[in-house]
Amino acid sequence: MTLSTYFDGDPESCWRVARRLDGLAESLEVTSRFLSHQASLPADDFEGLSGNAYRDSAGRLHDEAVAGASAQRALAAALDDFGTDLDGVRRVLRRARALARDHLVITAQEIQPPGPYADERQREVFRMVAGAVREARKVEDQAHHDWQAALAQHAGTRAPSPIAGGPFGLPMSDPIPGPLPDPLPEPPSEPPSEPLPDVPSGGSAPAPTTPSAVPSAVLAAVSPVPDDDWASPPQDDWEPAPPPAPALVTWELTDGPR
Amino acid sequence: MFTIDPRVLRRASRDLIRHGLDLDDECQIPMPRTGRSYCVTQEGLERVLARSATTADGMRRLGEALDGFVSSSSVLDGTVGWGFDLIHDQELT
Repeated sequence: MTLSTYFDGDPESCWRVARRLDGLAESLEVTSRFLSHQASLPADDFEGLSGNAYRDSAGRLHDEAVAGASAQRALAAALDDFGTDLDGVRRVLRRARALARDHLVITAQEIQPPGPYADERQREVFRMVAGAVREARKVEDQAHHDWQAALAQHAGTRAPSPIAGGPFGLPMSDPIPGPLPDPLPEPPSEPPSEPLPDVPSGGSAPAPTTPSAVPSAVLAAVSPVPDDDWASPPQDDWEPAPPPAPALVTWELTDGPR
Repeated sequence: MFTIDPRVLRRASRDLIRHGLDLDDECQIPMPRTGRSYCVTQEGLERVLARSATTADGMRRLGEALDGFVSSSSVLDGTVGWGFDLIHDQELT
């Protein structure tokens, strides 16, 4: 199995935007101090109903500015950390590629595993590189998760999915947001019907809409093939085709093991 | 009856407009390239920046309203004063 060292993202742009967000937060803090002063403008300067309305408006804007500054400070810090983590991942992947280049075969950004004639050194290098890349991917996943969690907390976006922890490294399913719905009621007891034949996924049988239409529609689609119809494929041909032969790896054939 | 200090309020309106315009400029931030988090990054940052832009817009509008209020108050004050002067002149004659 090849080892991908593909890296997606740009830590420098994350740092730049983090600094801009920090600057905006600072401006909002300065603005909020000014608005706080306006919200408590003395009656000697502005008296009457209009003055009260002005102070109320300034107070509302002050609250908005404070909340905005707080969110942007937090997002700036989270984005800065995210950029730092991505930078670390990028460095590990670069070093992995550099190390593999001396001992293994690299196509584009994929490190090819050692072939059957590889020596023990090559296998050891591949194991080492694979371990480093695996750890880097974990850090990358955690960085994305943390950044998305910060966005969910401070910007109200959707909370991120849990980090991959399922079998074979697959991501686990999203958490169920609400309580589980009531179980569906048991269907009324019906006389057992004949088991339906299997239909291939790419078959032309339409999806049944009513329970009564199921047997006729499916049975019509899988009607038995007449004996003298040699052109029609038998039902056994619905089995998946055998996997294609593996592609030849040129470095194994021409140069032999390095 | 109410009292205002036009000098203070005019300065406040100018500052409100200036702060609003500055904030509006600073809200123009490009999106970072965050890889597979790009979509959620764009959504989140756009929301936060839109909130700041709304605050900036509110400040600008408040500043303009305050400026309009002070201007109209001065006109009103002058008109009422002119009316009082007219009545006073008529009483004298």
